[in-house]
Amino acid sequence: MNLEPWRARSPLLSPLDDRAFEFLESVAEPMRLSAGEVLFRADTPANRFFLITTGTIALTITPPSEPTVTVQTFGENSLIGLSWLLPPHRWQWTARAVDDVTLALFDANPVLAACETDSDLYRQLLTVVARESGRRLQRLRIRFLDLYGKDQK
Amino acid sequence: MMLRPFTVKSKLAETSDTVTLGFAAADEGPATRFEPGQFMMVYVFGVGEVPLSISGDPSEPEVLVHTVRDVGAVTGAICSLRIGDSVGIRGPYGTSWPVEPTPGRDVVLVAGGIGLAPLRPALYHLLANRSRYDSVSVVYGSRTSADLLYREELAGWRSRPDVDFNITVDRDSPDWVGDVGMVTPLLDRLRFIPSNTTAIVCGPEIMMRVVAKDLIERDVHPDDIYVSLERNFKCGIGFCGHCQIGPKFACKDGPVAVYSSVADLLGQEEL
Repeated sequence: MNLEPWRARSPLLSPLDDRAFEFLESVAEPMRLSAGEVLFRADTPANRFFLITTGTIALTITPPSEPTVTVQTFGENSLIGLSWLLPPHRWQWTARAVDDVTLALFDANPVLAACETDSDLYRQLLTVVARESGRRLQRLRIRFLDLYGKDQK
Repeated sequence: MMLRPFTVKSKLAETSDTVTLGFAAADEGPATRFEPGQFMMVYVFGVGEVPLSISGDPSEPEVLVHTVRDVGAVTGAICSLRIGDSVGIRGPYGTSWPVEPTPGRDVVLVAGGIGLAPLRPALYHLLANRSRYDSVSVVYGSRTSADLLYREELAGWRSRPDVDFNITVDRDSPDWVGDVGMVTPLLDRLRFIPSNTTAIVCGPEIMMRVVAKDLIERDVHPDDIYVSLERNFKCGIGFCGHCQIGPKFACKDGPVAVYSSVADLLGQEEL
């Protein structure tokens, strides 16, 4: 799958060198979801990851006897799925399509197999996932501040 | 600048604690012409005076429009005003958003919470002169869907094909269908050429710093990022020092400031 159109702005692809990028291109497959469809469910095996090419994906949780709550949404260029790289390799949230979505799907099995023998590829992917985890943590911390609340004005 | 008498001509409840008021001059003086981003000092007789950003259309200066959130005694009194009530207003004061068109330039507006109010005049101006800019993108973050300002206008702005208008809320609710999370991830989706972009950012100071940092990471030059300085304005004309931030007076050198000129001041403790 040609991923060049997303390379410059994607947090997954932009840090990779040409060799790692071409490897991910070789395992990427296009995928479509309709609005409301589930991409993956919480507490199931995390054996894939995704790049959103169009549309929006929501990470959700459903409290008992209550409507599903969206924790965060992700749009074009976002990396979806961080749990595939490290144990326990299980999804933490349920991911649903907010609208019609197209994605690049990466099967984690050949990627992890390649990482077993290619420490440079592993380092690059680990760096991508760590950086993205860090960015999301920082953003979450700022959301905790409730910046738009009355006492913050 | 003299205090002029104004009368409340219109009042619209935006949210549970925020109203938009239209004020018309009660004297025979000229219309109050202003630049997007400027503010007025509004005096409620017997209560006190506060600075309020102008949230109306700069091409319609006959009515001064302010969007006010009830956060204290004076703003509470303003939110309680009824049509026909009188106030004293002086201004406009301060610097303005850089909205004069530069042909072919991309413009990104980022608003957080009540910060959409000071940005609205800039948005009116951009839309009225839309063909003179390249892309126009807006990202608006709100606490919840119930806290969104200008709901009817939001629908109109979002339906325009020539504006990429994005809204996100911090907290999901059953009535909300859309993005959830901070404004910054939405910046990743916008299509603009960083070296050719003017970014206008208004909201809580922490949000503005984070947004500016993200924009700089995307290669927008710090000289092309504009933020709004919010401090305790008192005189509004740089005399009293209440709004001093380091060497700057937010009322006179701001509220609009180039990020590169204030980056070192924002976030400093006790400034």
